[in-house]
Amino acid sequence: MSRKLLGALGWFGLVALLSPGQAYAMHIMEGFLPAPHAILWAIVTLPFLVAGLRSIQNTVKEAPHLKMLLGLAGAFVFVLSALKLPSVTGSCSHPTGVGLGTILFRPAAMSVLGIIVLFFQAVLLAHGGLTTLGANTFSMAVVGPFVSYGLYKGSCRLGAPLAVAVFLAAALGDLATYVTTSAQLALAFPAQTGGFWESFVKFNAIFAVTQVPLAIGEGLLTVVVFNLLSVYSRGELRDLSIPVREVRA
Amino acid sequence: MSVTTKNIMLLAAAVLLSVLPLVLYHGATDQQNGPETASETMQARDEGTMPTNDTGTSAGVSQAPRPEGQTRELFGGADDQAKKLVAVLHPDYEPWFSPIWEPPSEEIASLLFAVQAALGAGFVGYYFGYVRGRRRQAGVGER
Repeated sequence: MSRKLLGALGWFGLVALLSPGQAYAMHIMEGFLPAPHAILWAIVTLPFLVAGLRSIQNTVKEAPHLKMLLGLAGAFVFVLSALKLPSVTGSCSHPTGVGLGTILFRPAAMSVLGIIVLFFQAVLLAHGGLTTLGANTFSMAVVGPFVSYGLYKGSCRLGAPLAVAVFLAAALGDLATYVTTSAQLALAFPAQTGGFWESFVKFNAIFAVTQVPLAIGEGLLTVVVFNLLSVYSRGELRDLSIPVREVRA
Repeated sequence: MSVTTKNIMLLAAAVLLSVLPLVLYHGATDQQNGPETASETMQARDEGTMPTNDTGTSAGVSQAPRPEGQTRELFGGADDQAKKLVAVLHPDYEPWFSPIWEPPSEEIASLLFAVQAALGAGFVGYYFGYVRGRRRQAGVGER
């Protein structure tokens, strides 16, 4: 699994080298939200972070054996958000990877894991930014996970197979992140004529359309990890009350 | 179908999905200048912000770069396009904060991204190695 990912990484590293002189970032760039917006998004995100910290504390205290799985959820976000993939639009973006952890540990926990990754990328990679950290955390680590969780719960209730529920949750949560990014930028930069909606459509054309194939890819990868978990970590999945069927390796 | 077969197929689909754009656009850049100047021809795209054509037609349309350097690099970041769009929507907007530190070169940036992915993938591999060994030791029937 990780070998394949590394292979893919090498391939996309090559692609990155072939297109020089680019500052990549699929999150909102440093300084690209006016200060009031930046502060507002940070304030909006704060309660989710507090809830997330509490939720993680509870998990670690009450079920220490789930710590490794929590690490896996974080690692998955780490890998996927480092993979800038080409899309059919001719530009690049990267998946978010928050869907997996959301289904395992509920959305609040992901806000904490998400902000860690975003902080790392803002400080070390000039990807995203510190002033836009609040807004980016809100889109990737609040809206994405909550959309994922809603879809996961909804599909399970409708009797969809686990794999389908996981796929929908991961793929559409990923997409929701970038629709949110577009909305945040459109709020900050409404078009002179046409206002918010005009800008929203334009930003979506950049972020969301590019993201469609990547979201599908993320959905597929998340299903793979879930399949592996339902073979090798069935006990943990049961403890997290995830409906796993009996499967053979 | 066993889980392993399913997983391999899913992975293959994911890889195909990400290679597909490269294949589509490879034809487009190739026809123009030949493969040896591939990195220069990476710039051949229409319009400043977004290619609007869908995947089926993209190979045919993207030939000519705009006259006065109005080209866009192929497979650049979606954010760069967003920056340009901000400049179009609000030409007077000045970013009021710049990154406190930037990787000094593209190579260093890709190194750091590789490190990020390696750390993540390393832990993912470690986790599955761990649970696999644990399961084997406990006997397959357990849990």
